[in-house]
Amino acid sequence: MSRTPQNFLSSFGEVLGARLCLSDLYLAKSENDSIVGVCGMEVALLSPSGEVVKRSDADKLVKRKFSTLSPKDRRPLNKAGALELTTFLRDTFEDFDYTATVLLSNLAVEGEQRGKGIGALLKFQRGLDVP
Amino acid sequence: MTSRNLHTKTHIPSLASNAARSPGGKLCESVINGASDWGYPTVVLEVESSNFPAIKLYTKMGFERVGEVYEKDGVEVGEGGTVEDRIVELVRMEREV
Repeated sequence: MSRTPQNFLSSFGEVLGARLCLSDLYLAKSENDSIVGVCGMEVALLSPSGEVVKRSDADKLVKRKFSTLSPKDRRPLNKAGALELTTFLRDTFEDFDYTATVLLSNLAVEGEQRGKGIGALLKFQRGLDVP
Repeated sequence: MTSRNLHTKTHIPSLASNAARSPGGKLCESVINGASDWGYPTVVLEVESSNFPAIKLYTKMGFERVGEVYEKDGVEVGEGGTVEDRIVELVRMEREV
């Protein structure tokens, strides 16, 4: 009995237990260290019709399909990421036609900082002070 | 006037590089670089079809619109932080890393 949890972790626990779809968050800060923008990135799936399947649903979809593989087939993929797994599943199952991609999400910039790209550049070119 | 002065050119950077200087552009660039680090070939995003400033930024950053406008369940955050469910019209944009 005590070996069972060990077996889960070593055999297929890496994929079934861990979050497959990575995510990250970027912050843009001003010179005085205040946050002026934020943007998220996460691994998502694209359905055959091009619909974006968000991370939590994508995780479930891949794991559900992965769990139908035999232990022998699962073993080489224990430490695979979402991209490798979805490629394998797409090649293996006819009814799995999802593609892993990176989704840029929730980009937000503070109102006063919007459109500063070209404005700051023009001021710089004219020799004025750039705030 | 010397010939050197005659041949002096003013450097006019491309719109893409201007966009990349803004906070939004830099954030986009970070995500594109992050996707490359993770080994993914493309970055996709969904944006409301009426959000023209955002679409303009993404276009300048090299994203291209893919497919038609489609509807999805979304929310609207009103003044005072109230949140209401509503249907949003989205477009998908993609860029190769």
